This record gives sequence, C-alpha cells and structure tokens, in this order.
Amino acid sequence: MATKQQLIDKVYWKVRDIRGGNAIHRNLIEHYMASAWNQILHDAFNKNVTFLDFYAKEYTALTPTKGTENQYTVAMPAAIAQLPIKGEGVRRVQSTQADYTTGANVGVKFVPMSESAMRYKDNIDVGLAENSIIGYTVRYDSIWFDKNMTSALAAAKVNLLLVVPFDVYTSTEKIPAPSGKDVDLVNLTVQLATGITGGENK
Amino acid sequence: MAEISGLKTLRQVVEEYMFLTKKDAGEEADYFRMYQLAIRALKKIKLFHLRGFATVLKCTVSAIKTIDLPSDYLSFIGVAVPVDGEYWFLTEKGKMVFSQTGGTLDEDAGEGVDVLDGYYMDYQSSGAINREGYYLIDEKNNRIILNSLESTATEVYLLYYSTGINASDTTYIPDRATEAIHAYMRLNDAYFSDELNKVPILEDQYNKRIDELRYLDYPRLTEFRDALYDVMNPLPQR
Repeated sequence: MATKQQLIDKVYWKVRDIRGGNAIHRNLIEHYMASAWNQILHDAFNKNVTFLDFYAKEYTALTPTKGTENQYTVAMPAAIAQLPIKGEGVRRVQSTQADYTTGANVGVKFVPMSESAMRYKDNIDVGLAENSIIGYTVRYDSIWFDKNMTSALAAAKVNLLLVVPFDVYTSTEKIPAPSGKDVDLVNLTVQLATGITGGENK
Repeated sequence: MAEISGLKTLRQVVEEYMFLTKKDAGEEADYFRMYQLAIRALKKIKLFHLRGFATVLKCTVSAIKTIDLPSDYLSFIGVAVPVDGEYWFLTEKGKMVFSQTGGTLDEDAGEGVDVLDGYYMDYQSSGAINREGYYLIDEKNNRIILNSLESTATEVYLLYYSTGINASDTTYIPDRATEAIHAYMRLNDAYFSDELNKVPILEDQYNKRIDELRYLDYPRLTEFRDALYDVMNPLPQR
C-alpha cells in the first residue's frame, strides 16, 4: 500500500512525462487526486458498501453538545466522503463507555437515518418503545442525534469511524485504495491533470 | 450446560433480521423501520396467533357505572367478576341507557338504571340473562359501561389484549414466534416499499410460518375432553 506522497509522486512524474517535461505543482495533483479518490470510492461502493469499514479512520472521545433546539450534535473532526447511503462517510458512532470485553454499553447503539425519518420516528411505536438506540443524521460538518441522546451519553463522549476524503490523509499515511482500483486512481488523476483521456496516457 | 434462552427481546429479533437479510451491509438506516415492522408483527401475532397473552386488570367502577379502557388496550376479551375462584363473564347488552353527560346519571331518563331481568328462570323466560351484570363497550369514549352489577360489586376485572410492547423497557417474545415475525417483516417490507411483485410469495411464506405457530397452540385432546366435561352435569336428561 503506497503512502499519499508516493501516489502523488507517481502521478507527478507521469504527468511530467506526458507534458514533455513540464510539471504541474504537486498541490494541484493532490487536488485532482482527491477528486479521483471520491469518484473511486463512490463507484466502488455504490452497489456494495460491505467493505467500507476497511477504509474508515477512527476519531475518539468527541463531545456532543446541545445545539439548535436543544438537539445534541457533534462536530465532524474531519471532512467525510460523500457516499450514496444514509450514513454517508460515517461508518460507526459508538459511546466511549462501550466495553467489548465485558459487554457493557455495547448495546447502546447509534444508527443513521434521514432527517425526516427522525421526525416521524419519535412519534410512533418504535420511538416510544426503544430508548437505547440513538438515531443520527449526517451533515457535511456535523452529526445530529435524536432525542434518545442523553446528557450522560454526551458527557461520556463518542468515538467515530469515518471514511475520509483524500486530502484528510497526511503525506506519510498509507492510502487504502480499494482493491483493483489503484491503477484507476492514478489514471483518473492523470486524466484530470492533463485533460487527456485514459486511452492515451499509457 | 446452559442453553440459550427461549425468550428473545424485541431488539434481538430485529437485529437477527438485519443480520439475516444482510441489512448490516450499509442499510442500517432501515433499523428503526424494521423495528417498527417488528412491533406491528408482534402486536398482530399476539392478538391472533399466540395464547397466554391476555392481560387482566382490576378496575374500580366509577360513579356513573363505567370503567376506563387502559392506554395499552388493543382488543377486548371480557369483563368479569370473581365467583368462587373463577372469572364469571358479564354479558354484552347493546340496549343499555347510559350517562349522556358523561358526568352524572340521570335516573329519571333511565340512565344507569338496572336492567329488569325476569326474576325466575322459566320456560318462557328469554335467554342471555346474567345475574352478575352487563357491559357495553364504548370505545369512542375510551370506556366500558356496566349495568346490573351486584350492589356490593365495586370492582370488576377487565380481560383484554394489551399492545404488549413495553415503553422504554425490554419487551420479551417467545422464540417460537420469531420466524413468523420475520416473515411478517419481510412481507410488509416489500408491501410498504411498493415491491408488490414480491408480495404473493412472501404472503405464502408468512402464512406457512403462522400455520406452524398455530399448530403449536392447537388445543390438545385433553383440553377438548375437559371442555366437554365442563358443560356436562350428572342430572338426568329428560
């Protein structure tokens, strides 16, 4: 698995070859690669999101706070990938109190839902019968929790597993390109950087 | 050696369904929707197909001879008074005059006046006479109207089907109902998702699961025998 810097360098030299020795700035390549990365994540998981967990990064001990209308929210610690599922790039929200050895608080479950479903849910049987499952909706910069989120849970903080876009990775981090898609990542970035379609940049 | 429980929580039933239908693979957004379907399934199956879920509530009769329906009331079974260790069920009577104001009984208008049953049972007496009293269900006003109770009777027993779903607490389900609940969820998932082409085969599956469930609850031969003995007496037949 290549690091982010290695991938950028690979494209840099390839683009330089194609442009006859005229390079473009690495920052610009990073920008193009970020677009390509989003495209690849979207394509790879549009039909099967089973393996998204593999690409998720963990962010721990984040504190939800009360926002508008006293609804608990937590600020997104990093940008997330937009994916065609309700949870977008949020793969998991879990209370820091969860202990997989003892089983304590593992049952406190967070599940993604749409904004409108959250409104409906609170007024029907399931909203009345279950209060240890917390619904959340994802916005580009924050996660909003339903009324099952308590002050005690908020005080205990939450851990997040997020699928993040390319620019969130540091240059020394390894990039988990989906299996078989690493070539596509390079080719697509080259296409974006040069305006030349895939068939020509061999 | 411990064995796994024959009772499941509603949540376990939902999560088993999510697991089996591969909804763990990115469709967690369906979790609450599936939970709601499971609640509907449980209500229906308890109501029609499972025995032993009657709820009994001792109710105090109000000044205007009514009892209130409890908030978890789903369907009526009976109103009874205790007689020699058994519930003696009151008889439904639709003609009773009851309080029109909802606050007082106007006896001059016949409200709450005891039904005048014939005192003697004789060949010419009409049937359906119940010495312990009568009731009339008034669901519109969330109550049951009573009449002709024994003068000392201040409490009656209401037997009813409850929703059976505990609010903000654990709801337990006998495991034998799990497959039927799952079949209901699958059927109604398709139905409410407008996948109507799937409905006939899922309906067939649901009916099969229900048949299995009902088979387990069929009365045994001994129960039939006891039911017959219950209405027999040793008096000579004329």
